[in-house]
Amino acid sequence: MISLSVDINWWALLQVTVVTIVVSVLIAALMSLANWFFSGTGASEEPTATRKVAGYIMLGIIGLLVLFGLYLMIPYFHHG
Amino acid sequence: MPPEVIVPIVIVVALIFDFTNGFHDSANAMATSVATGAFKPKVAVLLAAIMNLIGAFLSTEVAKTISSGIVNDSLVSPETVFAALVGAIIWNLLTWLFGLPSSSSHAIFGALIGAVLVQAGLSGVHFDVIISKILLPALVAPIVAGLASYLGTKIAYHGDHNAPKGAKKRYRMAQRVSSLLVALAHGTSDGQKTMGIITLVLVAATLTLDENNPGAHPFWAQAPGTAPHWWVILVAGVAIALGTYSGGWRIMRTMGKGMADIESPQGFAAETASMASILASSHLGFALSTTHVVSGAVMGTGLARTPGEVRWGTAGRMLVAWLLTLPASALVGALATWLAYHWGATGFIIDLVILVVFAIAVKIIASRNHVSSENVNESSEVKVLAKAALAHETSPIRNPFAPPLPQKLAGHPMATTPLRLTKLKKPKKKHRREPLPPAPDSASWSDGAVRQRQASKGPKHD
Repeated sequence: MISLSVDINWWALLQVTVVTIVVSVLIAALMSLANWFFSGTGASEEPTATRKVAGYIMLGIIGLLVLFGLYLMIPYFHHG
Repeated sequence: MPPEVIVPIVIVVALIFDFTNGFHDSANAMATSVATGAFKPKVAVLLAAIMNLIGAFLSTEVAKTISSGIVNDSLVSPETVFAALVGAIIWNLLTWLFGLPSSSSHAIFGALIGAVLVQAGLSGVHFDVIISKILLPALVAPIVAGLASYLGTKIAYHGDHNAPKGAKKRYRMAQRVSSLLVALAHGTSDGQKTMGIITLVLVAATLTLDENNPGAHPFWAQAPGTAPHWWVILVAGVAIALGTYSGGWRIMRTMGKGMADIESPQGFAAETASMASILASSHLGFALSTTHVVSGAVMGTGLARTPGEVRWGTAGRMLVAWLLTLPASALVGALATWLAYHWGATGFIIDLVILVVFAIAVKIIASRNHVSSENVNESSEVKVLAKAALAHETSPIRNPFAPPLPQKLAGHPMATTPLRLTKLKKPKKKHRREPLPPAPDSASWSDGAVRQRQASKGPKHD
């Protein structure tokens, strides 16, 4: 006899959905911002020094997110 | 069958499954990078193989059971695992032949379900777990990844600042990083899967050995709950890396070119969404299939930029493959188990022969429309039975001696067609008939020429 009492972790499903969308949008936005900072303004094609620094900061944040991804992936870092 | 015999057989078959898992899933990480040119095809699979190998060594948290509660664990024996592996390999090869990305995990779960159904009937299978751990995630994964990828692509294509050459270069670099991360994540999860299978078989065989011959401890003996042997980690890692390096170009073509034409920002958005969903799902307790995630992400990015150019036919075929994975591999697993249980050693040998014959047949059929690193991006279709009518799309044949074509003709289809080979060949000599002797006048024709012609034909036999 088959008994079906399906136990679905809806909370985990919701968390996965939200985290995936937020992280993807965040990284895409940071990348887009970096490109905007690296692009020139007005007549000048070369970005100013300030814009360059801001662009590199955006790329740096993406780099930190990548490192966090590696941290999550490698169990040695977060499992005693 | 004694453990000394069955253990090596199951280990070899498990490693073959690991290899098929590698080439089946190499597209997950690298298809978009190969399609957009972020990596050259051979470099892409080499890096993916290295990342898979590293990933296999990163974690020792091997699953204690390969079944994840889908079947009654106490029913899983080396024979069951063997039958499940046969079923999963056959399904992996078949879907590879058609270039369809389907989940290797679902294939082995399906085959395991089939094997246990034959062994113990319906009571051995936990259908509620199948719904919550296989069917629902299969439905959710492409939707979540697709939505994330869609939004990411919309942002990447918003405004003019993402169009310049420098921006595209940065997107390409970011895409490379995200692809490598997906490959690493794949190594940690799927490399572990085969280690778990082999460990389970070793534990089961050791228990059987202890019952029959207490005190005997071969080098492969393993106690329940212990970490895998170092050599198991090594061979499983190497097998999945070799499989990944071999390419799986048919699936890579479907994923990279078959669903939608993608550019670097799209590849970046798709890989980022895939990476985010894989990491989130594995850490929040709702495991999603890498294949389903990446496929959904590619569809999402295609819909965001060029919704009219998404190839729904390919997506439909892929969906059918996903739906069929569980029942089809269950059927093969059930058949393999039936043979192994009812026919004993003979059934085992029949299973192995079926596997080898099937693999050879698939290889022969695939070679008719060969897809390789050289032509993976030349077409969006993976032909199976149809003859390569458009030979330039699928044939790897290139004439190495052909003179270079003018630049304006380089993109012409004839430039790569094997027909060019014929141009270099010497024309065959036509058989030349001896010219008839001249017939200047009627007398010589009637006498000398006719006699000469008759003589050349040989004597007359009345």
